[in-house]
Amino acid sequence: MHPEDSLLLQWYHAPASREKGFTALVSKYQQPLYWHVRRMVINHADADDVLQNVFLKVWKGLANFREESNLYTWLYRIATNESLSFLEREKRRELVNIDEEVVGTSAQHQMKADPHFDEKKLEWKLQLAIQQLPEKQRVVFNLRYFDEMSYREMSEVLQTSEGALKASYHHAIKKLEEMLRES
Amino acid sequence: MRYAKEIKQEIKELAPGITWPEKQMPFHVPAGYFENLPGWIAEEAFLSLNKPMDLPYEVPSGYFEQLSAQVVTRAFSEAAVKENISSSSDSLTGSSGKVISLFFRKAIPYAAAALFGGFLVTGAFMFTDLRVGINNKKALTGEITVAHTVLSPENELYKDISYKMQSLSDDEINRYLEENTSTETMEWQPEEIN
Repeated sequence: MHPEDSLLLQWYHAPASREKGFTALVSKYQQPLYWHVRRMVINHADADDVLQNVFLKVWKGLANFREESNLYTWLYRIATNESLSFLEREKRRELVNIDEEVVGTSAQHQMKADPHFDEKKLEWKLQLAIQQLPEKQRVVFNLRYFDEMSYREMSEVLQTSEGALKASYHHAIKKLEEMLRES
Repeated sequence: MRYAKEIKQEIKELAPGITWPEKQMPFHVPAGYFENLPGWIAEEAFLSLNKPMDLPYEVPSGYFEQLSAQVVTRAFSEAAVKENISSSSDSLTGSSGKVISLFFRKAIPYAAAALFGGFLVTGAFMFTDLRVGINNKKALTGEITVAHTVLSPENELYKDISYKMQSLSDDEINRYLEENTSTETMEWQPEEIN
């Protein structure tokens, strides 16, 4: 475990410094986790909701956290599961409201509705293409490309073998290459 | 980051013809969001410690303060009532009551089993006897075909018919058949014999 993380956990486990330890943990991990969630749910308000749930779960679960595993990958695992659960709920909600006009709820529509959206910019093109990947490949691509994780760390987050993750990442790259060429 | 170089190399090899964008996100975050987030989260987390449950019910004011005293009072009063009842019932039933033997109660399952066995035996006997009776009755009323009875080689009538048939000439048999054959007999099916 990262020495800084060990210190955070020491603070958290001592009742007198628990608040300090938790606040320090949130300060350290809020940005990487926010962007990980945001890349999945797109909208800021949704990302904020999901992230707050993530940290509340961390607060409740930290007492039972086993220090032999990596705090960083444990946090990412919670954030990934929360994001995927949120997307699942959204899908169900859209199915229930199928009779109503729900145009604009999909990730691509949300992106295009962003005031800063510019379809000529490569960053936006890539984000639009990523949204067309299957959910699992999207998570794998994001963790590797944006969060720069090793396959070992990714396998801890996603509880999948390194070989399967490599194959999934390679498939994702090939699909994105094709989509970016077409655009 | 530790793996940035390795990842860049990997993506170059996998998709060499593509210019991959810089890793900055095109999304925007409201100003001051990250500065305030740890405070909000910590506040919510610490609040959740003292918040027992998110239930829509309300409790009357002072309920929990009085609860323990109420429970103790009730427990004492119930114990006292129980004691009173047992002492008064003891005084009412001074002499011992009539003792009822449990023999009949214990014998009920055995009696039921014996009755059931009796039904089975009687039923089996009646069923086999009935079959015999039915066959006899059918034979008497001619419901069992003549073929059943006559075509048995041990039957005396069968032997007699065979003997008589041998004494008949072919012409006589043909004439008999011409006179007595109807369309019904032509439709006779061998299954009926069996």
